[in-house]
Amino acid sequence: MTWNNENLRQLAENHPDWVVEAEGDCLSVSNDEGVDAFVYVGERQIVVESVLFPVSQVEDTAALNKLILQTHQLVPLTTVAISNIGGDDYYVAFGALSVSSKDEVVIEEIETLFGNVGDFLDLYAAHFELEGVA
Amino acid sequence: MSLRKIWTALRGAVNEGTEAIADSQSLRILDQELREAKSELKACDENLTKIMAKRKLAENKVKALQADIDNYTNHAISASEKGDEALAIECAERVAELESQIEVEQGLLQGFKTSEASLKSNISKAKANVRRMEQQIDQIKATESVQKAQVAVSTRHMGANSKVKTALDSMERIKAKQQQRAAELEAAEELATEETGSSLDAKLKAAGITPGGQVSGSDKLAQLLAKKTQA
Repeated sequence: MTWNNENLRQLAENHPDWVVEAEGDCLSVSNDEGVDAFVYVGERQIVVESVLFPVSQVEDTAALNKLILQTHQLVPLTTVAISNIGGDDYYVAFGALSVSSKDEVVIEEIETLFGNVGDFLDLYAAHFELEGVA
Repeated sequence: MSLRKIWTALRGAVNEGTEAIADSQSLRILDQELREAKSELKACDENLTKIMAKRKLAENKVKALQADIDNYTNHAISASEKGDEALAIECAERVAELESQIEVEQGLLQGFKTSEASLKSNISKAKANVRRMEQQIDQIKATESVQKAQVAVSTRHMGANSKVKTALDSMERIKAKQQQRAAELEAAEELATEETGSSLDAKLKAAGITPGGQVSGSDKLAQLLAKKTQA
């Protein structure tokens, strides 16, 4: 079976810890930690993405980038990238999987992203200024 | 389409500023390249079909020629054995002629086989490439849609001109949740230990070491009789 926004939304809504809303071409999935993941269903693949923090908040980007590359193999399902959102650069975490993936694989990808987002913030904590964090 | 080319196009789109990547020239170029790659692939598929048909024909021809060669070889031998030397030579000449024909056909057949193999290998590479291009275009469109959604959500929750809501904004909540989960895990462990404890209590009761254990029928009867005597 192939995923689309509608059946993926139904799948995600069954998850006890998630709140799912349609947001433009995407679905926004919020977990019980207040972390948002955005899910996009394309023709070939599903992309799940969370914004980590603004690049501007990082003291030494070269050092953080090195740490990210050094530790990236430990998180095979999630990739860290820099993305320009609304004119500013942000570190984002995302995962991509085939549109023909099974239910449990889709859920695993989103759950893994949420888990890894927490781990990333913990691992990278020494590199960003915490001022202004709500 | 190389990754380098995509990056150049994307960087261009970002530098263009306000223009959305999905509507931008860069993505249209990528889409165009994908369409070209797909039609090229289709042409390769058609060529493969033609070559395979030619290969099949050449194979049949080689087979037919070989049958003729065998046939006239036998005839030549038979005629020679019967002493008809003239006929035997005529047959042998036919065999020589057929052998030169089959050599040509086999050369053609080998050529078709080689083209078929290289076309097949190229087609499977081209297919993998098209799939990768589709994935990359999907990824670009996804990134753009996600960015729009992120801006929309942040504007709704945190007001216009606000920064984008990030996971870092939820750091305290993530930590609190993690602590809660750890506490829950600890509580569950304690509960599990308690259950082991209570099962120990049950064993002690059953062994009659602590009161409240299972009373046997005869003990109970004695208790009942004793109560009746007291009454």
